[in-house]
Amino acid sequence: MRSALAVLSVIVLVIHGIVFYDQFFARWQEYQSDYFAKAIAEPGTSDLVKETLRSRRPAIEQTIVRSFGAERVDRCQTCHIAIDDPRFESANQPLKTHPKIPGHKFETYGCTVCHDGQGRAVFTKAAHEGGEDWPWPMVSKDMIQANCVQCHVEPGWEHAPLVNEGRQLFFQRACYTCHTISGLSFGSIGPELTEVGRRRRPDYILGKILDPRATNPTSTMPKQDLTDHQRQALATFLKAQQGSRISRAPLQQFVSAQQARPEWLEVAVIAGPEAAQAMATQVAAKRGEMLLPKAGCLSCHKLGGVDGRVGPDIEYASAQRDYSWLMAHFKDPRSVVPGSIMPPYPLPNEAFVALTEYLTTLPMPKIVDDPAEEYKAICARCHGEKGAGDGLISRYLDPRPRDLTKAAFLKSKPHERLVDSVMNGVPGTSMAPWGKVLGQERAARLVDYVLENISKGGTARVATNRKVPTTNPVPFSAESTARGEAIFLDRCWGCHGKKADGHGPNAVDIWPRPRNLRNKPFVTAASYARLHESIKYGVQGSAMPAAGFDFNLDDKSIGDVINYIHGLNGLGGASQAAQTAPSPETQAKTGNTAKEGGEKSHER
Amino acid sequence: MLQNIIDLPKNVWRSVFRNPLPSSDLGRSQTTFTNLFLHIHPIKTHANSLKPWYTMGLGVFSLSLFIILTASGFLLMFYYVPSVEQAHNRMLDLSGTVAFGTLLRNMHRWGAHAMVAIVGLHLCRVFYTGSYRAPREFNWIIGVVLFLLTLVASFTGYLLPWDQLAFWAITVGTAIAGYAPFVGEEMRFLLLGDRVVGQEALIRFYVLHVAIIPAAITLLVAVHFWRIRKDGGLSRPEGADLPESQAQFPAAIEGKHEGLAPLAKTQKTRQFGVMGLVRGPFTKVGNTPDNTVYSWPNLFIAELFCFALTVVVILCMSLALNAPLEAPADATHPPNPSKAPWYFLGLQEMVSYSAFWGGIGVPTIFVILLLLVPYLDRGTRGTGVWFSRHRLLANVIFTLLLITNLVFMIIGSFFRGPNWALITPW
Repeated sequence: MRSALAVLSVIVLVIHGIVFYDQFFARWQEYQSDYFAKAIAEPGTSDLVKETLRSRRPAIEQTIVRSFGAERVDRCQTCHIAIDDPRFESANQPLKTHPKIPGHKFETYGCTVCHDGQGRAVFTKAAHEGGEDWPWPMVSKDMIQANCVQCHVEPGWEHAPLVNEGRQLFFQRACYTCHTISGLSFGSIGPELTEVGRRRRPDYILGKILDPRATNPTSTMPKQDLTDHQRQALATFLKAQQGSRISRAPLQQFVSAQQARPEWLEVAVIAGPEAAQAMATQVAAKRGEMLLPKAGCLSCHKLGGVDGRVGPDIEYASAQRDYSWLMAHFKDPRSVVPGSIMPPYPLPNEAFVALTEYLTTLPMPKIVDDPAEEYKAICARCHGEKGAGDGLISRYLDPRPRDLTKAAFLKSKPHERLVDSVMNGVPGTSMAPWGKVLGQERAARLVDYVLENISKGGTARVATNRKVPTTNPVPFSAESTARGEAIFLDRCWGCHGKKADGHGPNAVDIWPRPRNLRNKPFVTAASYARLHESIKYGVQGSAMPAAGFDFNLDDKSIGDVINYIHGLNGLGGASQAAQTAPSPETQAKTGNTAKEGGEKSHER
Repeated sequence: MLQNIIDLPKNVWRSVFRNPLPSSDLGRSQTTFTNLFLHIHPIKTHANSLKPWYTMGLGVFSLSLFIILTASGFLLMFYYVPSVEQAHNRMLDLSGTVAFGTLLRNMHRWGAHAMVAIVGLHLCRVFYTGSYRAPREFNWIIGVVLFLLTLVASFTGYLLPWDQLAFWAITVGTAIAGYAPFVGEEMRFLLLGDRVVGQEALIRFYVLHVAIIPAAITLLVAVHFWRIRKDGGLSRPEGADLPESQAQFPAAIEGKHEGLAPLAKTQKTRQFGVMGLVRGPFTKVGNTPDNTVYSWPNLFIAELFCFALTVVVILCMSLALNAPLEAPADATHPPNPSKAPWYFLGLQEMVSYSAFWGGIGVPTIFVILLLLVPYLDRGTRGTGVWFSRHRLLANVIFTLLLITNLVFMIIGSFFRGPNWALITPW
């Protein structure tokens, strides 16, 4: 025991030695000694200065900055001791002269006001990076502009080109439609970005722009097609969003936020007063043409060679959508496509009118008269090159595009219905009507092409002798919907969900996804017979079982379930009589702008 | 006069240390007895208590850590300001501009974690050797209370750096307290002085951390030690006290092993007297044959060794690893997930299943069981032996509860990601 204690005592002593050594010799002392030696050796140093330098001993140098928000203590000069010594311009860091910036004195401004970093630290890594979760690591040379504009608040300040470019991108790329930045935009779909520069590290902001799903797999934020430079600019602009500007008093801050005009009017819609005048003299369609790229539409949609790679192709809009549909869609995209990720645009009505006018008069590009080319030109964007429903933009569409390789589904459906879907689209989904683009003949040919080349193989039971009533045998009533609800909550909710929104617990593994039965345009447009048949006989090529047989539901019970589904969508009994009537809600929305033609797009 | 000046050093020395280094049993007794710090110990210690694998020195390790924590804590108090504006900046200053600042903080942080672990292990040791049994029931209860106080001390200290880790760990921890029935919210309010963690909470935790809890621990440690003596020393197996005629002294104790003083073999010729009479069957009075060795030097060397080892380990850890310091606390920016300190992660994991049962019900039942153990287990066989077969039931139940808690702790620490969803740590 004694010898063990003796050995341990020696270890204790040694460790104390290490501790003292570790604590008493810091790198900054070496840097300072180095600086003193070099400064003395520098030719032209007067004897007086030499004497002063000789008498100096390494010490922590600090600047206490009180003029910019909370008190800052910057000890950067402890290592960077030569920043105000012009003789060290060509020296290596840390002993390098800081470039002169007129009017910015180190004593008043310190370092971290511009550079960020952790001013109190005197060790390189801690000072520059500030630890793992330090929200303000040193910003790169470019990104410093984000801190310049904290004081230089005038919009478009010429020395911060990256911030200005990022600000433009923020509008051009439609970021403003989803995100709120106090005094700048009012989006409510994405997280607020008013203080994002203060809360998030620059690398986090950059990463989020680069791949929105990297840290949040369920993010619906579209991945933007940006160059490295643009990404840097956008990140710099966002880094500049720090909520309160350090150069303003809280009262000024409050007043300016209250008075702030919604700047999208200038930047996005009119692009400055001159452009506004130029625009004002034009007809609405021309105004729409000028507005479309500025409002950020093409950061998602595809038009005239610009492709945002997120939303559907709008080249053929004039042949696919009419005035009322477009106006309704602009005001609230989910009123016509309930699963849409497109935000309702915070633009005035005139802007919508202009855009709608432009889109309805848009000349559409020619498609080569060959089904393979047609498929590539208009189908592949959503359904995928090989038809597996995994096209470029499919991940942003809800419901997902039909997987055309599922032969059992396509081959079990009558040819007319497939042609009809191509010709008239599928209401409530992103499947647009292609009738006016292709015409009946080419549409039928395209369906044949798909059936032959994509829905290859696979067999389908050809439906024969199916007995499906064309109208509901049970009249719509509260009792009927109650019975239907009971059946639904017994048999259907596992896949379709308790809310009938298609998000039941089993839905995650099912492909194609269970139908969202709260998709009002879809349910409105689907004929009674189709719903009844799907429930009674199931849907081949999907997970929908033949509920009529599996669960022993008679026609009346199925009628109850359909009444329940109709009731959920506010369709009531009216839908039985007029299966193709547009929903009252859509009509009300579109009614003011154009009454005629409103019904057509909803017909199947 | 001149002689007085020449003798000055010698006289000063003698006035401070009343005995020369002992060379006789009498001297050893007197040295132990006349020194404030040493007289806490008995003059003679039972050989069984000195077996390294019996106690593993865990009690002494705990005390050593408490001493290190007190010392480093006092030094840190010179720099720390319990204010939400200043606390975090003071931490930053500490790490660069205060001599030994980083080291002190590291020692305090790692020491605190180590103390929770070691005190917990000490509790396990006492349980598995059945040392809580009569007559040591009350000392066991004091020990359990000391364990809880250690947790509270560590928990209150967690808030003081006022960084994100601190803020959200305390937010989570105190939210658990809020789940207690009837008084939960009031208890939480009393603890925080507010509905949320803020300046009031910081000052309360500070006072608890630097004054009230250390004082309570100091007091209870004194009682704990006092009771060890009065309950007849550390527990030992039956038959450890050999009758005189059968006394078989192990070679190591007999003096063959270098460094151990020879035993007083014949009790009858002992030259010292025990200063006082003590009740109970275990305390050695008069001529009771026993199996003891002199505390000086046997016990003291062992204790000093444990203390030095603790110092070395804590210093090495502090040199190698820096205590984490996250971004300043931000009440509007919670990290996901926000986790409590590791020793409460078992609780947090259980809370994720049931707020009341996980956070309040199960822990309360566990603590009550711990407190009642010596009164439920009144057996005498198997005391003083690790994992005695006579205590199989108690040991199995305790082990099961311990493993359950450990598993929950490990799941909470490593297998829980954002939104407390299960993740794989690799």
